[in-house]
Amino acid sequence: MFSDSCVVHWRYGHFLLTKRQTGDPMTTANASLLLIAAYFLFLLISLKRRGQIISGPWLFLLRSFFPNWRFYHGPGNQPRLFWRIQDENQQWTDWHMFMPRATFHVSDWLHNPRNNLTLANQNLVDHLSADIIAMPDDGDVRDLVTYHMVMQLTRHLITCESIAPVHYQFQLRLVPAYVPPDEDMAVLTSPTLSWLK
Amino acid sequence: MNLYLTVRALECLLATSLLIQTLEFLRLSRFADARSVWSWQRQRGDVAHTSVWLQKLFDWLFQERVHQAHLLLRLGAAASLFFGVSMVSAVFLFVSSLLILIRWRGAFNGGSDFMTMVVLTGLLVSQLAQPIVGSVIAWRAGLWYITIHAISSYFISGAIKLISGDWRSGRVLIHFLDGGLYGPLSDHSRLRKKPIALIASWSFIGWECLFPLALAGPQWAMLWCGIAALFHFLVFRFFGLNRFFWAWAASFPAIIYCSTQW
Repeated sequence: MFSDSCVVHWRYGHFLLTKRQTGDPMTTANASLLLIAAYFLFLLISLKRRGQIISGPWLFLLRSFFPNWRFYHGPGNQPRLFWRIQDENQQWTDWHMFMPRATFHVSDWLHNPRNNLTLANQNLVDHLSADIIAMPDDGDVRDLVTYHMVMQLTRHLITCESIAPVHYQFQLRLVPAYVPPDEDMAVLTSPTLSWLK
Repeated sequence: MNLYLTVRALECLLATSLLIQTLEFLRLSRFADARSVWSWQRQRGDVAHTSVWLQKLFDWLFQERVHQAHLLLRLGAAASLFFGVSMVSAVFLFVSSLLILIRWRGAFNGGSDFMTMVVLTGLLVSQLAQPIVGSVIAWRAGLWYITIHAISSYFISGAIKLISGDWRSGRVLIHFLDGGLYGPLSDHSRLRKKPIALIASWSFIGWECLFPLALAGPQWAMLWCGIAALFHFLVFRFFGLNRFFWAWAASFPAIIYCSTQW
C-alpha cells in the first residue's frame, strides 16, 4: 500500500500517484477513495477467510438484505430431482431427471413468467438439498416444508407427462460436475407414494 | 451527469424493472405448479416459528384475492415512478417487495431480487433522509448505497471466479452453459473450443474484478456499465434470467453519478 504521505488521484481515467506535503489536510475525496479501496481490500480478504455461518428462519426469509453475490462460483455438486412411476403391473419406469429447459424467445427479455417459475422450482430442489445437509442426525425429512413442496413438484412433473400412475417415487441426487448422474449419488429417496392421495 | 438526470434515469429504469416483475407475478397464478407446489397452505410452515397473530396476518395477505390486489397496487406504484418517487410510493414498494420475498421463501429469482431490494433501499433512504439532511445529501446517500452494493456484486462475483481453478481453465464455463435454461450448447458451438472458453472466462473475470475502476470517472463508469448491459443480456440469452438485466440496469445511473463525485 501507499505510505501516508502519498495519495492516489483517480480522475477521468488517469491514474496518478502524487506526493503530498507532510501535514497537508487530506481532502474529502481522497479520504473517500482510500476508504473505498480499503473496503474492496476487505472484501477480497473476506472471500478467502469465511467466518461462522449464521442461520435462522427469519434470516432465510429475509436473506435478500444480506446478498453474498457469489454467482456461478464453481462447479460443485448440483442437486437434481429424479422421479419414476409404477404402473398397474407393478413395473417401475426408469428414473427421469428434472432439468429446467426452454426454447429461447427474445420476448422473454420483457416477460418470462413460465421460465422464471421453472427456475424457482429448481431453486426449491436446491433448498431441499441444503435442508437435508443442515438437518440434525435424529431429524425427520418429512418435517421439512421443502420435502412436501418437492413432493408436490414431482406430482406436477408427472402430471405434465399426461400419465396417472399407481405409485410414484422421487429421489434427490447430488451430481458432481462433468460426470453423468447415477443412483450412487442419491442423498434422499422417498418411500413409494400412492398417486391417489 | 447531474443529480436530477440521475434520479430521473434511476426512477424510470426501476419502474421498468418493477413493472416487468409485477406483471410476471400476476401471470404466475395461471400456472398449475404455482398454485400447487407454491401454495401458501403448504408453504406457511416457513412462518410456523412466528407468533399466531403474524401467521394470521400472512394467511390473510397471501390469500389469492388479497395477493392479486396487492400486486395490482404494486403495478400502480411502480408505474408512478415514471412521474417521480414520493415517500408513499417508496415505502409501499419496499414493504411490498418484502412481502413478496416472504411469499416466495426469501427469493423468487435469486440475485435479481437482491439487487431490486438494494435499489429500493437506496430509494427509501433518499426519501426518509430528506426531511433531516435535505434532498441533495439524502439522494447522494441513497445513490452511494446502491453504487457500493452494485460494484461489490460484480467485484465479489469476479473475485470468487478468480479463486476457482475451474473458472481459470475455462472448463466450468462450458459446464454452466450446458446446464443453462436454453442449453445445452450445440455440439458445434464455438464456445466448446477450449481457447475460446478460456478467453471468455478470463474476460468476465477481469472485467468483474476491475469493476471498482468504474468509479475513476464517468467515461469509465459508462464503459463498465455498457459492458455490464451486454453481459446481462448474454446471461439472459443463455440462462433465461431476464430480471437480472433490468434489476442491475436500475443501478447504472447511480454508478455513473458517483463516478463524477471526486
